[in-house]
Amino acid sequence: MSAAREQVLARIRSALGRGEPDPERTTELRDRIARHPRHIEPAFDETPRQRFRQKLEAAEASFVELDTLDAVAAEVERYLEAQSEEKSIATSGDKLLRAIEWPASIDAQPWSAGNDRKVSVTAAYCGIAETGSLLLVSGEQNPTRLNYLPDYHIVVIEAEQLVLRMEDAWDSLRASTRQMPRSVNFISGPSKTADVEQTVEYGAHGPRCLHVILVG
Amino acid sequence: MQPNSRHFQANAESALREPNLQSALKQLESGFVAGRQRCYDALPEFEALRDRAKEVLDHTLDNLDAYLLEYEARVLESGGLVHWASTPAEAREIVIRICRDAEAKTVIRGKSMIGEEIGINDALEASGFEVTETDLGEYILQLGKEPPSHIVAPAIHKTKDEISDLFLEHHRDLGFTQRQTERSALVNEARQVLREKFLAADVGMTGANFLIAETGSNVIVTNEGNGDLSSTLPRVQIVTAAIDKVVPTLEDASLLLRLLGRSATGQEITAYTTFTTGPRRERDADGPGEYHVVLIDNHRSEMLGSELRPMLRCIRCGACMNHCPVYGRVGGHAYGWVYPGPMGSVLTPLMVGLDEAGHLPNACTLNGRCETVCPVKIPLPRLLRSLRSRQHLQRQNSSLARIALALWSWVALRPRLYQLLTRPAMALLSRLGARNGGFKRMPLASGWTRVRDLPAPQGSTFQARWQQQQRERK
Repeated sequence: MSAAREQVLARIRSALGRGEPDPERTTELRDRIARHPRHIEPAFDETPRQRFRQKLEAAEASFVELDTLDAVAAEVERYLEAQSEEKSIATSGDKLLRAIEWPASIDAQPWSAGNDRKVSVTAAYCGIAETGSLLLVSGEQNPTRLNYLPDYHIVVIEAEQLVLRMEDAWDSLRASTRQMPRSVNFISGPSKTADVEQTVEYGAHGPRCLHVILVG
Repeated sequence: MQPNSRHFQANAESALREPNLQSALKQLESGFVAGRQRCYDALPEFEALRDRAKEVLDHTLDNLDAYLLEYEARVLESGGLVHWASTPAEAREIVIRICRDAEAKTVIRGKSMIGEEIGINDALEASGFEVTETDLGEYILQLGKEPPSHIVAPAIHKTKDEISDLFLEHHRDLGFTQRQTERSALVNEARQVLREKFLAADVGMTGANFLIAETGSNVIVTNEGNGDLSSTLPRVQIVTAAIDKVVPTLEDASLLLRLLGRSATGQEITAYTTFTTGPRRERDADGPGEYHVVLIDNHRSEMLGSELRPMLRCIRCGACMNHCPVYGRVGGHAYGWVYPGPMGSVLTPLMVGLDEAGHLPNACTLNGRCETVCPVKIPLPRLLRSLRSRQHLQRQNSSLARIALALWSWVALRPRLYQLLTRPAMALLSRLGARNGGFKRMPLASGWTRVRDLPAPQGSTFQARWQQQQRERK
C-alpha cells in the first residue's frame, strides 16, 4: 500500500492519541454498521400518497394518477401531444414497462447505445413520500443516462412502491440486492439552477420536465 | 489558486464599493436566509436533528481511521480503486496519472470545493488535458477566469450582463453569435454547449458530499444534474474527497441530507441526490468502466488533533456565510482563497498558513449568528477566537495589537485598578458625548469612527451597575 495511505492513517491515529483500533473497537464499529441505526425521522400529517404528490408538484414536476398499467401508453401519448413533442420515446427495459403495449402511433424503443432520444420513460424502484422523491437504480435494464440526458423524463411508479422515508428505501434495497447498485438516484423534480442572479431556471443539464405517472 | 488573503482589508474596501456585488449580497437575505428559515419553521425536529448530526459526526471523527478503512474495503470490493494523498500536490499527481493511464484527452468536472482546494483545473490544463467545469456557476467562473465567491453558489457575484458578455465572447466560435440577455436563454445556451462536452468527455470528476463506509458509495447532491452526467457518461470516473467526508451508514447520510439542503438553499431535498458505488457492473447498461477515489488529507489530520477538531464536522452548506454580516458586505473574493465566510476563516489559515490568512479570524464581530445556524453545531466563533490566540502566541499579530493586549490584560487582571480607571473614564465619556448621543471622532479609535459614530456610554460601568443591582435586590 502507498506511503501516503500509511502517513495519513498514522497522523489520524496520533491525532486521536492511540494506535490502531483494537479488535474489540473494530467489532463494535462493524456492528454499528450492520445495525445501521435509524435517527430522527420527521413526522408528517398527510398520507404518503398525498405527501408524495404534493412535494413533487411543489418542485414543478407534473403528476398523474392512473388506476391500471394499461392506461400508461395513452397517458404518455396525451402528455407528448400536450407538449407538442414528437411521439418518439426511449424506454428502459424494466419489467414493469415491458408489460406496456405501445400503440403504433408511438415510436417506443428500448434504449440502446447511440440511440439517445428527447423523451425517456423509466420505472422507479420506489418513491419516497417524505421528500417527494423517485428512486431509480441502475442495472442491466436500467441505464442511468435515461434519467438525465432527455429533455422529458417520464417516470412510472406503482402505488405499492411508495415508502415513507429514505431509510425505508435502504431497507428494501438491502433486502433485494446483495450489493448497492452502481447508481442510486433520488430524483425530486426537474433539473434546475439558480446560478444566474440567484433566480431559478429549469432545465439546466438534466430533464427540463419531469412527469410522474402513479399507477394503482 | 494563489491565496490573496493577506490583502483582506484592501479587498474588503474595494468590495464595499462594487454596486453589483452589493446588490447580489443583499439578495442573500431574501433568498438563502429566508429559505432556510422557512425550512426551519416547518420542521419541529430541526434542533433534534442538529444534535444527532453532531453526535454522529463526532463518533465518526473519533473512529476516523477505522471508518476510512471500512470505506476503502467496500470500494475495492465494488471494483473501484482508492488512492490516498497527504497534500494537494500528491492529489494532483494521482489525478493526472489516472488520466494519462486512461489515455484521456478531455475531463469534465462536477462542482467540488476540494477540486478548488487542490487546484486541479490548472494542473490538468498544464498537463495538456482539456478541462470543463459543468456546474453552471463554475462554468461561468471558468470562462471569466475567476475563483468562486461562495461555496454553494460560486458565481453569486456575477450579473446577468457580465454572463451575457462572457458567453458571447466564448461561444461565438461555436455558432452562438447572438448575445443572449434572458436568463433562460443563457441557461439554455450553456446547456447546449456543455452537452457536447459531456458526451465527448473521457473522464468525469466529481467531489463527494459524503462517503459511506457501509457500502463504499459516494454521495453527490445537485440541482442541475451535472454531477450525475459527469458520473455516468465518461468512461472513467474520479471522485476527489477529503478524509472528513466519510460517515458510517446510509442512515447516517440520510440524517445529514435532511439538514444539508435546508441549511444550504432552503430546500428539503435538492432535485438530485445520487449514491454511486464503484464502476459499472458487468451487465449494467451504462456507467464508467473505471472508478477511482482520491482521499485527501491536506491538514485535516492536524485539525483532528487540535482544538479545531469540530471544524471537521462541516458539511459545506454555506449557511454560516449566508448569515455572516461580514461576508454579507464584502462577499467571498475578499477572503482571498477557496473558502470564504466563517468556515473559510477557520479553514484558510490552516490550509494556507496563519501568516497569509491572519486577517480572516479577525474579520469577525463574534456575533455568533454562524454558530446558531450551523446544522452540525460547529462553534465557529470559539474556533476563530482560538486562531486569534494562536496568532498572538506566535507573535503574528501587529506589535501595536500585542502591546495593547498586554496592557489591557495587565489592567484586567487587577480588578481594583481596572475599576479605578474605568469608572471615571466612562463617566467622562458619558458627559462629553451626552450632547450628541455619541462621538464622530475619537482618538485611538479612528478605525471605528471613520465609518460610524461611537455611541456614548451610559455613565457607569457594567460592574458598578451590577453591584448596585445586587444591593437593591437585597
